Amino acid sequence: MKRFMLFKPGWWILHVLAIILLFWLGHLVNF
Amino acid sequence: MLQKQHIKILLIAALAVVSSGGWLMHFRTHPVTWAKANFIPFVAGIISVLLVTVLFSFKKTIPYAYVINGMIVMIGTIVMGHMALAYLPKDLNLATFFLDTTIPYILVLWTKFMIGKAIFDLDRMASIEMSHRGKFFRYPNMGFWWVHLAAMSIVYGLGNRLW
Repeated sequence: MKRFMLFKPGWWILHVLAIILLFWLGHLVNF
Repeated sequence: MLQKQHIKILLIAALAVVSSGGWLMHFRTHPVTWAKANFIPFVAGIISVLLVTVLFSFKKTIPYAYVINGMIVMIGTIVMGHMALAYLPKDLNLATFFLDTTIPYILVLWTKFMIGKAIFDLDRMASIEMSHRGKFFRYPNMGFWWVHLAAMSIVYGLGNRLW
């Protein structure tokens, strides 16, 4: 089976965006 | 209709039903007007009910649905886990830990993950061995999800503490 975008530019863009999103979600939640 | 197609339709319906239930439950207890963070389950619910079910319906987009579905489960687990830790019962024991925290909801959420994995595995396996090949820590095996759960928890935790 073909690997899912691993280590291609799309992979890096996706991970950077995901990290920013998650970091922001952590900021948004204030329990 | 083939048996496989029939099972796939039932699983997609199960996903839509469990996601709708979760979305409505969140909408009742965490109205979006109360806090900004309440948009998280609101948006995740809409993605789950509309986008994920549609993506699971087409063979070409099943891998995308599998990843999006799994990531939503990870985010739900992390945020509800955070909530469980933030609102630990005062008289903490085994019963209150399981009944008075968000643990039951996290368990329900994981059915969503498993339904998604079932659809994904059903689609690609000609045999059970086909669905378990490749390295454990690489996509699409379970190790991939455990690594992501851990890494996502760290990023979320840092955002919560540092920002």
